[in-house]
This record gives sequence, C-alpha cells and structure tokens, in this order.
Amino acid sequence: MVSYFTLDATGEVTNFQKEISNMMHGFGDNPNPNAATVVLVESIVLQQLRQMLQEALNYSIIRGAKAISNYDIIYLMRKNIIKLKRLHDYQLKLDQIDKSRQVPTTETIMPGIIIDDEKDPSIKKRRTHIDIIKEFDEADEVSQIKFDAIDYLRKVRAAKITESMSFEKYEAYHKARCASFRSGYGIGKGFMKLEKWLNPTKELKITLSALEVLCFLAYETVAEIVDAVFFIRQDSRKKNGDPFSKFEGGHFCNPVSLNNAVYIKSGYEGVPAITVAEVREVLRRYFNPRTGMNGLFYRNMCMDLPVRYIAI
Amino acid sequence: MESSEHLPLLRDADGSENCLHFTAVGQEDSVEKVQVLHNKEADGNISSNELMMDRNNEDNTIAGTRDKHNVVDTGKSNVLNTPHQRTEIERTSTTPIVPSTQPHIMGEVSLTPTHRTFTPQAVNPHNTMVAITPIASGASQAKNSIKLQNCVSSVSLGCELKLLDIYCRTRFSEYNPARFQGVVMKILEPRATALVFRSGKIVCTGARNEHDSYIAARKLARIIQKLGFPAKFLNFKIQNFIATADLRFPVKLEALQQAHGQFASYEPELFPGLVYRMVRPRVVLLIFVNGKIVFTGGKSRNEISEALEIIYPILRSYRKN
Repeated sequence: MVSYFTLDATGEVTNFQKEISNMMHGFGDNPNPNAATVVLVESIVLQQLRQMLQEALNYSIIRGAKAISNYDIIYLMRKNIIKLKRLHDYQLKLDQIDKSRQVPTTETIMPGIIIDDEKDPSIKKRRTHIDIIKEFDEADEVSQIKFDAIDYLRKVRAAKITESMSFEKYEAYHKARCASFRSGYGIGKGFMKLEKWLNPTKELKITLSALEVLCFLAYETVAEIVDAVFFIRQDSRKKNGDPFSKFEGGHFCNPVSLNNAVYIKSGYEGVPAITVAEVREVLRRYFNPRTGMNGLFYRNMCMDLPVRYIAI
Repeated sequence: MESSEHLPLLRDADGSENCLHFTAVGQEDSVEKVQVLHNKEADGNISSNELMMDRNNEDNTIAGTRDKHNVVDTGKSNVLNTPHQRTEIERTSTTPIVPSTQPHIMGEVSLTPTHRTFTPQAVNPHNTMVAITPIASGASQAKNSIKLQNCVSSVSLGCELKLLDIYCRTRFSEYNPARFQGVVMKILEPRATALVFRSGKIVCTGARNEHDSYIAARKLARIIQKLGFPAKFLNFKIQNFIATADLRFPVKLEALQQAHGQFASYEPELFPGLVYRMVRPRVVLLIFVNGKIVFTGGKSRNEISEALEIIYPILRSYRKN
C-alpha cells in the first residue's frame, strides 16, 4: 500500500498555517503565535489525520465500502466517549445553525421548511454522525454525559481572555476564533481545501460527511495541543510549598480552581507565545508509553508502534 | 379639562420615551396672550417628566383659589409655575423679579389655571425659545433601527393544482420535480417569490413587509385563478419575519454565552454569530460582535420589537468598550 506521508509534491501548496495560527490565538495563545510552532502543529495535525485516514481506509475496505465515510472515522473514535459526546453536540450545533441560517437565505434554499416541516426533502437529515454514534455506543453512555467539561473549560478560558480586551483586540480575537479547517468564510464553507490537504492526489475517496468529522478532529487536535501546553505551563510554574502557585496567570482552568475563580487571571497580554519545545513536551507526554498494552514492561509481540491520536 | 390641555407640552406628542425638551413654550390664551416659559433641565429621564406633570396637576387644582401673580423674569426668562419652583429660582437666580406692568389680569383667568405667572408680550417669545433636538435613548434608537428584511407568508388556495400546467403557462416560473416538488413563481411588483404546491398551498417569500407579502400573495392567487383553477384565498398568515437591527455598540459574545448558556450557543468556528433562542416571545436572534442583530422566527412585528426590548438591556450589560 502506498504511504500517505510522502505524497506531497503536487504543485501548489495547500497549508493551514494561517488558520492554525488563528486557532491557537483563539485558544489563548499569544496574538502572534510563534511561526515555527505553527508549522510544527500543522505537521502534527496533518500526520494525525493521515494516520486516521489510513486506518479508516482499512476499515472501509474490510466493510466493503466504496469510500471512506464518517462511519469508519467514528469507528476510530468509538473508545473515547467524551469525544463521541463532543461530536454528537457538534452535529446538533451544526444542524441548529443550518436551521437558523436557512431562513435568511430563503431565496436560494427552499423556504418550504417553514411550513411543511415534516415532509420537506431539503431538510432531510444530511448528517448521520449521531446515528452512527448511537450504533457504536451500545451501553448508551454518550447520552448519559450531561456536561461537556472540555467545552466548558475552553469557553471559560475564552471569556476570561476577552474580559479586559480593548475592542480592536477583541475584534481580532473574534476573527481568530472564527478560523476553522473549513474553507471560506461565511455561507459556503466547504471542505475543498481540507481534502486537498489530506488527499492531494485524490487517491482516496472520502465522503463529505467523513470530511466533516475529520474537520472536527483536526480542530480538536489543535485545541488539545494548546490545552495541554497550558497544562504543562501550569505544572512548570509550580513552586514547592505554595499550593496556589500553579494558578497564577495561566489560562488553563482547572475544574478545582473554578470554585475560586480568583486564581484565573484575566487578560492575555502577557502570554508568551507557545514554543516548539512546549509542543514537543506535550507530544512526549502523549506518546509516553504507559503501563498496559504499550507500557514500558510489556513485551510487545507484534512490534506495532503504538497508535494514538491526540484528538481521540 | 383646561389643565390637561397644555400638559402634553411637557412630553412629546406620543408620550414615548423620546423625550422632547422645550426650553420655552409659548401658549396662547383665550383671554389674553400669555407666555408660559418652562425652563427645564435637559435630562433624559421620563420619570422626572412625569413627576413634574404630577406636580403641575396638583398645582392646577389649587390655582383657581389663589390670587394670581404675574411674574416676569426678564433676564433669563425663567417663569415659574409652581410655588416650589419659584422659591428655588428666586434663591438661585440673580436677576430681580420685576412685577408685571399690568396690574391685573382681565377676563376669566381662572379658566387658564396652571400658571399664575403671566407675562405680557414685552419681548418676542421666539427669541427666548431654543430648539433642542430630541435625544433618543439607546434602546429606542436600536428599536428604530429595526428593519424588516423578509416576510414569509402562507395562503391556501383551497383547490388542487396542476403544477406542470401552471409552469407551462406562466412567466418567471421554475419547476423541477426532481429537485423540489413545487413551482417557484416570481412576480416583479411587489418583488416576491412564491412556492406553489400541488395541494394549493402557496408560500410567499421575499417581500419586504407584511403588506407587500399580502399583495404578492393576492396577485399570485389571481394569476392562478386566471389559469382556470377555482382558487380562493384562504388562511392567509404571516409565518415569519426576518428583521435586522443595529445596536451601535459591540458585544462581548463570550461573556454573554457564559451567562446565558441555556439560551445561547456561540461556536465561532462554525458560525461567527451567537444564536440566542428566546423563549418568550419565540424568536431566534443572531447576535454579532459588531452589535448587529438578525431576528428570525417572529410571527409579528410586535414580537420582534418585544424581543429587542428584552435583549437590549442584556446586551447592554455585555457591551464591549
């Protein structure tokens, strides 16, 4: 099988460096993220997504499907309930936005939904992520998660960051937060660019819904890396003997510290840009073999490298 | 009642929050020309205005029983209408109060009850009047900025329609059963687009307001009637208003999202605005950072302005400055 790590030379370059730099800003990094870090994060995301695609391709071939669909990618995520829950919410939010967006653009899209809601074909469920999630989640654990802590923490952090921002900075910050792996800004958000980036030779057939999940996962990967960097910073700032030293000025909100939110400082002026070393440290911790299947003292019979996805 | 007649002068005509302030108000009396001058503090508070009115009312009732003075305040043209005010101004103003040149008032003065302070026409009253443009409060400014963008209405023609027939015999219509099982008809005046279904239901969109929507629906019904269908015009109903408004101040969406988590959903990655689902009235608001709002789902103009009234103080408190 062809390796997907070598297939990059196809003329024009597609990269998501600008988007990733904006995303990092949105997640709480310095307004001008370190360029080297951005390149590193981009390569991590690309590698992770291609690995996922590779694995999903295998599953789709086993399934006998013609293209990689969201089914195969959600299958990869099946063990992480929290991420399944996040994807579940992601679909709900997208549907909600589509619904509220559909009305203003009635001229182009069918406005029939307003009246014949039940029998209109255009609003027929296009996204099937939730159905697939329900299929994999036999114990019905996803529906039992009521509170999305990751989401909540990210939002608290964003609110804290914006608290004391001037309007100009806030505007820039808002623009940065709007960045995503979808191409274009506004109505016609597609996955053209993402597909070109992941699959430059068009060798794989990826369905639109699969691309939507990949888009979610790519975004999630960046978010996880930035979250983890703040986590590491919190650790490194710890002073012996001072139980609250780790809450000083960081943007990572620890659930414990939320009760006394005094310790989360607002503002982001002083945040030093995330360095390459910090990202590497994050990766080291992620891929650190733990005890268990890929642990230090486990005799690995099949010599497979441990596969782990940051976002999953 | 005489006293109520000039009271509205203190407020603006419709008594709304748009507070008009008159520095001077000329009033003509049946008996003789009197000039009543109110010098009021320019303060945008309606409650103070009402307070003032009440006080005037009280005074009016006792005005008839008291004897009348004419007080002319030549310097600042402050003329007093209540005893309380008078003493205050006497205390503060440096100009002496000159007694009127006319010793008594002729005619039935008690019919002009409020102001015991009549001045003869010594000066041109227009010189003392200063026009102040009404200062609208932010809320009413935002309310005035509501602009209807689209109005969706539905009507039933009460008969089964042959869509292909309609499509073939009308101009500006589209019919593509594979894509959408209705005829899309357009009319130019008022500019509107309609979806005509086989059941005889018409959905009319694209009109700017409810009136245009109604006219458009009627015209379409007429067109279809002329094609030979026994069309009636049943159950015309406005289904949805889409309106925009501008708050003229930026909003901190993150903080709003934090505080109103159960109504608001803000995912800038997916959509740059905050989607706020108001429960009563049942309207969906798309709120953007720059203070622009899009209202959808409202069934009437009232609901939209009501929604804005509710959301305005909320957004005000999340103003970004």
